[in-house]
Amino acid sequence: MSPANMTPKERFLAFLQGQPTDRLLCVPLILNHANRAAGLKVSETLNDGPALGKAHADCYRKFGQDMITLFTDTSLIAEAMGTKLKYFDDDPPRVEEPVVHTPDDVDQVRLPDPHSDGRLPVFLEAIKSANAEVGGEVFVSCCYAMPFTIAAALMGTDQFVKALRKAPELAHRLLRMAMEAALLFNDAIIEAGGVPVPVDPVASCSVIGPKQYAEFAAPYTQPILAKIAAAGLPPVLHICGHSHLIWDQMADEGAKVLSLDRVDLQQAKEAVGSRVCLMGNVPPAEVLLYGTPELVAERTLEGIRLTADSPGGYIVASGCEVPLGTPDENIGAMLQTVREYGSPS
Amino acid sequence: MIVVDANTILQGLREAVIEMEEDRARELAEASVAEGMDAYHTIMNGLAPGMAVVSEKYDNEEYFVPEILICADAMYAALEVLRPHLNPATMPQQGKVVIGVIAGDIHDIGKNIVRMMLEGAGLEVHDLGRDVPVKQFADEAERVGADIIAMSTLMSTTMEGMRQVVQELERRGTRGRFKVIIGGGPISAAFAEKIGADAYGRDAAEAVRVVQSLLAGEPRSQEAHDVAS
Repeated sequence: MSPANMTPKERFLAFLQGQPTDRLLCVPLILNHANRAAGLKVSETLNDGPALGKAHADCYRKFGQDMITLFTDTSLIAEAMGTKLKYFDDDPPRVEEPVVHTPDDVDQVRLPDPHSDGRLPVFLEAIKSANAEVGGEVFVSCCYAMPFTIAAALMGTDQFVKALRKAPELAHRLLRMAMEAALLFNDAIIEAGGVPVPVDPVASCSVIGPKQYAEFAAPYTQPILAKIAAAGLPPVLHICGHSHLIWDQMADEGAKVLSLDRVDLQQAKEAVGSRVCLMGNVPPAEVLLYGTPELVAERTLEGIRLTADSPGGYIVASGCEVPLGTPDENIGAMLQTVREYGSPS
Repeated sequence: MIVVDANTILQGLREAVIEMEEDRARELAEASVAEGMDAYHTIMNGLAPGMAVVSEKYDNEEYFVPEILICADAMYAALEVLRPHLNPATMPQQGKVVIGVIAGDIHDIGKNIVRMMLEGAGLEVHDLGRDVPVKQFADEAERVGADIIAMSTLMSTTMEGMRQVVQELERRGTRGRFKVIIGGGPISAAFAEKIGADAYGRDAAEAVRVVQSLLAGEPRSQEAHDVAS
């Protein structure tokens, strides 16, 4: 018999322990868009941890999703290591000036102190603030970039991916530093009471091939996933865009939940559904931002039905970040569909 | 370097692009000039077939972004040598493309790959760069007499800018003069249709095919229609 009316936290804990839940977990990746729930622009919480945490708590109170997902941009850790970002009024910051241009520049890169460098402390404060508001009923997670994506932001993506072929030693040196940095931030997130959620958008098959993933991404992500698992938390790995060529590697490197974007869930289920829990993949732009609540419901239901017999289970989610300005009723439709149709039959 | 004949040079250029050999591509381009070969012929029969193979390998998931960028370096090294020797009088009319990443977005790797493949296919490409304001697409397309306006974005938040470009062209009464093609991570064929673009390219290889078919299908006939109406 399934328990009824679990809180998101109880549901997540049951999921972690392999116990029955009242319904599927539903985690739309509401990241920068969470500011809208507090009536704020992105720039208003970028450097204000308590405000960022409160915006996400407000967002949770509005939608009741099963996990809070703190995140602004994938350059966060690289910034704390020396990369310069460009800031906007109502968009997340992006890389303006990478810190590494020549092999000698690698020596300029510093390991960050999560408690003082860049905007890392903002996230640690936001975790505490969101936990103080709603931490009794929902887990607060913090999404952050894996070493491959960090290294791309340290060197500039095109230069970094060219270095994989032209200067592999340099790429590995950067990746080692990026991994050390990610581990430091990972530990700080856990210590602050958050759940670390690794994301690796630049390691997507939309950018690199499976052999490059095996040499330059997986070995550096693996120790981080191991550390998350050792803390008793679920090792999630989110990869944007295409990932069909590396699902096996993602599972091999220790991810227990694969958060997927532009993929065929049926194909993913057949490939790795017996080894991992699948998470995804309602399309952010064409369905959530531009679609109707009916379309959102239809696509949400499609994911639920496709994965109903996936042995490792399924978490309903958006394929990637819920876009800024997504209509409330569309996010609501996703959660409502899971409440209505996501219960064990 | 010992050069046997023109065909050896063309074959070598093709291979240098495919095999990502920038120095070899440059040297062969210099050799072609020294041999008095027609630069346009060298581009179309050396570099273009090389880029076509690169595009195929990308389609087949054999090449990914790192390879494409390095192939592009090789192609551009040769182009740089050849371009000053192009003779417009003996060249056939090329399609002209204005390309850019829409305002608000600075992700330009995808756009650069499309540009490179279009140039590799022998088209004249005017690259506006990234974070390009709506009006600039319309201005530049008019200025250079473009056939095609190509726009990309990786971000869902900047997709609306593409619609604004189409609207801007309509407002100016120049929409019929250009074919508009869009692409990028969050873009779909449905979105292209919704904003009144002419076409969508799923990836760089498809973008080139679509541009070529747009150019082949209705070469400048719309312009005459515009003038008449």
